[in-house]
Amino acid sequence: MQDERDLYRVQWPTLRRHLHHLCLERHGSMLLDALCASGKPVCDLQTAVDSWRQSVLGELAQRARPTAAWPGWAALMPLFGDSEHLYRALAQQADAICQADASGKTDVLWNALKEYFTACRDKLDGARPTRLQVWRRIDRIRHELQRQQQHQGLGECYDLAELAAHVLSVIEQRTVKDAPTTVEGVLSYFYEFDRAYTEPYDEELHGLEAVEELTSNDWQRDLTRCLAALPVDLRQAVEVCFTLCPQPVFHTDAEFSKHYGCSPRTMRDRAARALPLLREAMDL
Amino acid sequence: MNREAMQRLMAAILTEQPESADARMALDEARLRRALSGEEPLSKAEQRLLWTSPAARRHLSMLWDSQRAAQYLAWQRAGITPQIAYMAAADPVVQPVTIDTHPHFTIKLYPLDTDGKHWTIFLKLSDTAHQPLLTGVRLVDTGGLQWLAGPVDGDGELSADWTHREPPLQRLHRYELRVEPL
Repeated sequence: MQDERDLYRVQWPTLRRHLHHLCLERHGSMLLDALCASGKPVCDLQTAVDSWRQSVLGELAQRARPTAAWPGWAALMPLFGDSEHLYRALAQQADAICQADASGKTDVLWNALKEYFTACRDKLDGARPTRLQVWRRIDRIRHELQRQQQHQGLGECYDLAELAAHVLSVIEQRTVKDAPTTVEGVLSYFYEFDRAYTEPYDEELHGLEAVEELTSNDWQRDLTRCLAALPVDLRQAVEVCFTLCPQPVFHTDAEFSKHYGCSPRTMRDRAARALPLLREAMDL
Repeated sequence: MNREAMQRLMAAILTEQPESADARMALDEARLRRALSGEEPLSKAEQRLLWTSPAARRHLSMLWDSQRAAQYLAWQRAGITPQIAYMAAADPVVQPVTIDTHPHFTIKLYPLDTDGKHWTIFLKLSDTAHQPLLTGVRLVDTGGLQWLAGPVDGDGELSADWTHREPPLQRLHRYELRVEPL
């Protein structure tokens, strides 16, 4: 298969990160200001989306000059090409996007954009139907291995590299149609379809070990120090939400509120507020 | 604090990190491969880039996965399994222990004192396991504890002092050992 190292497949998580940065962090407030007024969508959604799209494409055009070292910038531009589809994707979610925006959240907007970009990518390279079939076969091979491991009392295999090597050796034995022929090719299917690797949080968790391996930064010590410097309520929220220390088990929200003096939702909101503060304190 | 929980917290902190414009290009594939192979460690500035750029981390993670997968595949083709079947005696005496139940990995535990608190751990790879080596290796137990990690020397050997509170022989009552690509 020739598309194994294709930007739209193997490097899709990186492209998606750049899309998130461009669409939300760089130009997101422009879109939301034009799209929502007092928590409700405006009537002229098309004009709001067009201005935002032009602004994003303008920045992309600057970055995607022929001298750009990374071809990914140019690959992002066609993803904004289907304007009708983009209007539809945002119009369908407009109420929810504006409601979330009213409480300072951009996740609904990002989910709508992410679905649009993924659909657009699939249309551009036309590979999705075949890849989905191949992924189902890979997933079956993975389940066979897990059953076999369990049978031998070895426990489930959580090591993605070991799993990819096993899948490839089975593919080589069985001649699976359209299947990848390299470890990078097999891994690209996991990155694309396996829920454990497709979201930014999971990517970060999965990649942390490699970063630790190559850096001498004692991040745990730094993090503990920064955590201790947080206001008490935010520190408690992080400790509870991430179970940094053993926590009591509550069967109802009322039990939780009685113990901590706030609802689980308030606790989650506080933890979410603490994360950027910790990042800033750690100079990341 | 619980290490896994700290990792989850760190991942959540990094998830919302903004991308720096061209950070990814500053650490290209060739550079990361040299660092992963131990040939040329990353400078302080390059290490910082990994912590501050999601794209650089992502790129590293993909290379790391593919290099480790290639190592597993090379071992698989050579008939080498990562599991080492061994169970320590229930009432161990403090004396050197040799685990040679695996045809390609031999582990030796040397006590450094008479009450078995301090140990040196030694791993030797057979030529068959050493030859296709693309990465360093680590010795871990099935309880998730890392015993040894690093590049093996020219003779296929790796050793280090035991740094954990629980003595290694006690761990061997409960857990089996595995050798994994690093």
